[in-house]
Amino acid sequence: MAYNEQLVAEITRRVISALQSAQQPETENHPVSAAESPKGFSIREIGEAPVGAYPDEVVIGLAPAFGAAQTKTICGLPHSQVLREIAAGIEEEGLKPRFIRVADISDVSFIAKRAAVYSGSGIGIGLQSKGTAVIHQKDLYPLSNLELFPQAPVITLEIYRKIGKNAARYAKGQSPVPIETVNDCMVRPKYQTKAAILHIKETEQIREGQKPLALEVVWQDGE
Amino acid sequence: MRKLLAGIDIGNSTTEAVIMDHGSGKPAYVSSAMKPTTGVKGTVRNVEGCENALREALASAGLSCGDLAGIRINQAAPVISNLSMDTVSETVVIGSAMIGHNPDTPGGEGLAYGMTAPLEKLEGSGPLVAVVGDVPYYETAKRLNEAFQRGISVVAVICKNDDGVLIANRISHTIPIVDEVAGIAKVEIGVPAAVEVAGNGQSIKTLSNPYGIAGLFGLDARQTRESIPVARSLTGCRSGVVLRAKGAQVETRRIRAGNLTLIGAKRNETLDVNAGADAIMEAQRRAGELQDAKGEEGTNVGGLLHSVKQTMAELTEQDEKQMRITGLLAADTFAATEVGGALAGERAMENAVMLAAMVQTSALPMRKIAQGLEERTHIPVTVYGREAEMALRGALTTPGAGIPLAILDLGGGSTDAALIDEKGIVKAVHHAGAGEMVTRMIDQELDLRDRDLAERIKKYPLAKVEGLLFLRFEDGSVRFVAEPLPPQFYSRVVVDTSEGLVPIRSSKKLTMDKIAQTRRQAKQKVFLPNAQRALEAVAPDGDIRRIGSVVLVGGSSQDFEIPDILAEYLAAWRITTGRANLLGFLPPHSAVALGLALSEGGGNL
Repeated sequence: MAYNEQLVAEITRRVISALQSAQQPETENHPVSAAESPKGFSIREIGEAPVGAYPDEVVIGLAPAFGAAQTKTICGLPHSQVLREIAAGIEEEGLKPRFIRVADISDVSFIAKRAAVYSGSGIGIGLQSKGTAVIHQKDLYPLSNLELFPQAPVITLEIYRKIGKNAARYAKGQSPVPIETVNDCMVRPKYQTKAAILHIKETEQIREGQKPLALEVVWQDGE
Repeated sequence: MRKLLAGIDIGNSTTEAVIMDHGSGKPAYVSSAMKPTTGVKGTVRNVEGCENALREALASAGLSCGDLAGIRINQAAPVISNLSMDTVSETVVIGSAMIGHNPDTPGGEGLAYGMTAPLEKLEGSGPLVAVVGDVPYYETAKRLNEAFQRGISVVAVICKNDDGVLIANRISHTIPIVDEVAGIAKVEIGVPAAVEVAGNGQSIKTLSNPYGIAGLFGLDARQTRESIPVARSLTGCRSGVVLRAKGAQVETRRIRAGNLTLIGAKRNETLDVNAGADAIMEAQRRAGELQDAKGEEGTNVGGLLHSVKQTMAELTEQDEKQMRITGLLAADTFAATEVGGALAGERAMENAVMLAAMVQTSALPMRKIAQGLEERTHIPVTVYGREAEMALRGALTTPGAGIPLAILDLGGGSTDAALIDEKGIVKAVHHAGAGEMVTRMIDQELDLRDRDLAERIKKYPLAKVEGLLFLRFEDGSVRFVAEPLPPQFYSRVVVDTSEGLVPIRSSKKLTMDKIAQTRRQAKQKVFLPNAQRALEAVAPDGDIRRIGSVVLVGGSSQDFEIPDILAEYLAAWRITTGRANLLGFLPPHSAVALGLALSEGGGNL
């Protein structure tokens, strides 16, 4: 086994955080999901997110308003379900999902790139509140990507599951077949105004200069 | 005074033209060109390819058609080879409604046997296999845990969605879970079922063994025989389900592989195609020079040979009854076949025999090609000499080569050998099966259904894009690139072609090793037996050892690994092999065209 500084730092950090949480239970954690969300579901920011040291994770970067100021995608899928499906897809492939909040930008490409850079495997998923998703790799230019799902209104929960699965497969060094999605040419005219408003609302939530935050995501049955 | 002669060689895949100047004693090289062959070799459509190659060769030397004194084309045309492939062995038969399945990510581990029961009704004392339809994974896990607490013995799970690992991570017992069973509705309730999941990197042991299945289900000898296809379709899988449905039979159709009759110069041979490629090749050897081959009516092989003759008849505009198969190469391969009674559209790899057949046609089309070319260029065109002799003549220009000399012409459709001895006597043979067959075999065995991709896999080495700035090649070497690679290549196996990287997109989980192995084996299966029998035919007294050295010509001799594979194989007979180096600078595929352009007078060397 190779010992490196990163690993030692990670272990130290975990030991310290375990000690701290034992001493002062949950005083610093504050729920930010002020908006109503399904019973039992919560997203809590728990301090600055670390950069991952292990290749067994895929980091999911959430846009500033995701699961907080906004709780549904543009076509009404609850954010709790979206996150659950993505996490399930990653877990089914044997990897661990880790959630971070990218609070200082609302562009999905940059959110995904940030998630990838923070991911131990170098693979990240960016998610906007309206549902747009991107699978990114840390060495790519921000506006490039591994897979892009630009039409949020046609993304179903099954596709979110597949997004998680494919991201995990990239992280394992496999060659997944890119996910097929519906391309609906009426999506643009139908949803343009709504998308623009949701994006503006998302952008309003930006916290300038805020570094990515670690998130604790809990669903109703305590997962 | 210049006297320019052009030699044009129509090959199965490419047409080459070489122009030589015979004006001042010793012929001097002027120019050459290579273009894809238009249409099937030996048909009138070849004229266009000939003209393209000729015009390019002329243009590169700043000449026009009028400067030529004559054009010579090869006489290879009367023999055309075609390839037909069919699942010649018997189709998978699943008699006792047993079903196998192999998802990507099963959950848990182990082997379990029990009666199927729906998740909603887990009760009773015996071991149960829970059948789960459209239920979220957390719900499934909750119900299973509740069942465990009630003391119900749930020993395995079959579920519809891709939830195997998710369920396994959330339940208190380690049991095998097979997921992604699309046809979950087909799974009967209350029937015996066996579920097996192996650990990573391992494959299941019991359900892939007919006696293992027999032991679990209490089968008699006849039923065990019927379970063989099930066991075989599960061989090498990481997980599997076998169900014993109540009386329900999966309907399957048996198409017999059929008998193949070889009519030879010495004798006729009839044999079952299921005997495999080696037996067919051995029978052909016993039959002597092949006059024709026939397949039994209404069987796979009958249809196969019929379609070869029919295709050839259409292309050459001759009567099908006049078609004679004069050469056969058989090779054992695999073909993907739908599994009867599958739960999720599974396909199993079945044994198959691939045949390349060479058809003897009349010399008629060749004259038509010559006429067509003459009309277009207004230069006299002659059909000239035998292909193998011309290849020999071209190969002799290789520095260091001298009489006696043997050549192996590894083409697209056929493998030829020729030998010239000290007295100048030439012996030549022509065998079906070469590069094109390799392409088909790669396409078939990897189940690509994409001929162009198979062709690229054949021709170029493989690499995997491990990072966006570097590739790892199949030999383990690494190449770094200056510019980041396009993201769609990330984590993919790519073919490193001359026109850049081409990703291999396939729903199969094809690893680089698997593709490379298939590619190498396809080349071995085609070129090794063909090289051996061709050299045996031309060798003095049939003794390959007396040949000494062999010069490789033809398109496939430029392949990045075929010469090495052949050299290694032929080294066993103490034979030195090497690629031709025509005139010291031309690539080996131009040997025939060069030979044609070199020959001025008669056909003697």
